[in-house]
Amino acid sequence: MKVLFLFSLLVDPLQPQPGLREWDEIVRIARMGQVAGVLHARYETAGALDALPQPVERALRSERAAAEYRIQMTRWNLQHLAETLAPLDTELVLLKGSAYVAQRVAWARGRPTSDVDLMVRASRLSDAEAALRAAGWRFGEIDDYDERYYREWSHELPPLMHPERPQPVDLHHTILPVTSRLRPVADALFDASVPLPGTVFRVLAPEDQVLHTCCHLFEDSDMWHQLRDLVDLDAMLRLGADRPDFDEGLAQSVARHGLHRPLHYGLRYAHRFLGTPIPREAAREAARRARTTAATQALMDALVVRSLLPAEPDRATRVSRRWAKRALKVRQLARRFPPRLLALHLWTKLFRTPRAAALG
Amino acid sequence: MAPEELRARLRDPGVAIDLGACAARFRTGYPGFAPAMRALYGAFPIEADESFADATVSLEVQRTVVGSRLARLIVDGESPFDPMPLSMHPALVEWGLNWTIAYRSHAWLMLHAGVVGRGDRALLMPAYSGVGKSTLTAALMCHGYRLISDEFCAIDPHDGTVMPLLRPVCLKNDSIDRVIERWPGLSTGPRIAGTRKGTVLHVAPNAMSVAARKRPARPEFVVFPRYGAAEAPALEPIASTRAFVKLSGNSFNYALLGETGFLALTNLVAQCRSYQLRYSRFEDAFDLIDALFAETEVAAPPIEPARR
Repeated sequence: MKVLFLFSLLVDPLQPQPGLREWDEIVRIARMGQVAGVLHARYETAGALDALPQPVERALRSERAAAEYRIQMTRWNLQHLAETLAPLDTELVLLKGSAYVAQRVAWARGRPTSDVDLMVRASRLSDAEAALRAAGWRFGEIDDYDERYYREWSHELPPLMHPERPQPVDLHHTILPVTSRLRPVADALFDASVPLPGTVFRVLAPEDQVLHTCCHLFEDSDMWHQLRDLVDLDAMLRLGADRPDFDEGLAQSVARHGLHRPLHYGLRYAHRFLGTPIPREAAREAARRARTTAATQALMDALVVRSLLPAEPDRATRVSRRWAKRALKVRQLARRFPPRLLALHLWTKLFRTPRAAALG
Repeated sequence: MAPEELRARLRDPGVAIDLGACAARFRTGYPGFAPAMRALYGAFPIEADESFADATVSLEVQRTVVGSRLARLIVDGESPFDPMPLSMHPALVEWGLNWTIAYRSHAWLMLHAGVVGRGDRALLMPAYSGVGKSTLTAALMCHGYRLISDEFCAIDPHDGTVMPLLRPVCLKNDSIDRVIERWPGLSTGPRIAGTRKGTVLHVAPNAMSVAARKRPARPEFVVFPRYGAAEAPALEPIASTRAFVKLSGNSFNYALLGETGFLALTNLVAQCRSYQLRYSRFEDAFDLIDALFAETEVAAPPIEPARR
């Protein structure tokens, strides 16, 4: 499968190179998975751009330029948000893409961003919202149900937009919906977070960034960015593998937050698809309490392979892939809501809106 | 290539064409596409199956519940365009491919302009809708100029040259007959009525332009055409600053490229002379533009290379 070739090139560009026709497919899969800009950056970092055939380099450079533009828009957004939110004098924790941009981590070079994800303590959420609104940020058009969904059950507010800013802001107070089966300890996430020197922002501790990415992949994903999330996870784990205390820290953190299952799956699929080095202690802890049966594991394997790995680029999305994505979404929803709420949510989404938006 | 063989290759593995600045691969199991493909791309050599394409478009036929057939375009697993009636499939393929090229050619500063050339000297005609850019581009090709682009002016930010990006010229409504009646031998796609742009007809790039599609040209003139039945022919110089503003507002990726785009465009207007062209008859436009090219070449100022 070409996607495995793509993964191995992302991990190590210095290896026997694909032929032109293989490149054709690899570049298309990379575009679909939103990692084409990352691939260009990894070749650049490895000093291997000259190894790329000229049209391939040009195509990847184009994706890189598009990603850099979006990264710059995120930086610009962060500058303004810093001014708006610094007076609150509270921890402003950046998550996901915006965190990687602010941290300037090498592995995320060329990774496009589409919004700013910012987490504040639940006790300061309304202050942060008020400050943003005072600075001109507004919620898009949402109805009462969606408003209630976000306010009561979600881990974030509806996206905030600003007429003069290119990207929206998602204001979080924890990393998973409050109705989820899994309840990470938000206060512990804040307490462990680390400041970014020279900015007003913080980011999650490296171990918690790993956990958050796993949660995002398996508990809260939009199902179409999974490939990119897995590539992120691989890079974070490789970076962690160089630190002696990382494995133990991750094992402690997963136990504290009870996020065994997402970590178990994250490690399993990162290792399977990208050969990611496994932090042994954390993996043992995750497997011990994830308690997946052989049947669930087999089902999950089948669904993840179909959903996560990109489809053939020349065809509309295959039925099996759509259903795998739906099945995973249903799994997520079932884990997110208690049964009564799930019924209400599906009922509302299915019958109120013209399309089954909830099932993606 | 024999029609049957073309159909078979379109089905699998697809037919790749080098357009100059980028390459495209067409795939479809629909046999009706082959004639349009031959008419619009017949002058292009078919690239090896092992070649790399910047954009691959797959045309599919979809049946609606009432049984009518729709053309649907798939680009990298997505279908970013509304399906169109099957009879309009050549237009869907052209527009879908244009859209795809516009969003993934950021190795170039992409201006929305028709470009024609004589040898390695190029004249840019930025597009504003309704000014007759495509009509004049097609006419200039028929008049003997080399077609460099009808849609995408691909400027290399590192040396300021324009790389051909050959697309069929899309004529609309009244301009179709103005061109076709005058040059009846042109190779064209089918006349397609009822599209969102009205009636359209695509004109193939001629063999001379196709043969030169890998040869970059140096932009020397920026001409903003204005067609009107009552316009008296005139070519008036305009300030390069004004040309800059008009061009930057008419680019697909000027903002995205940031400093690279700014430097490339600054260099471009500095090395070009810019004009407003008013005309009603093709002859008048030809005379004025021929006169421009007849003047001695002005030494271009040195290019300050844009940073990568």
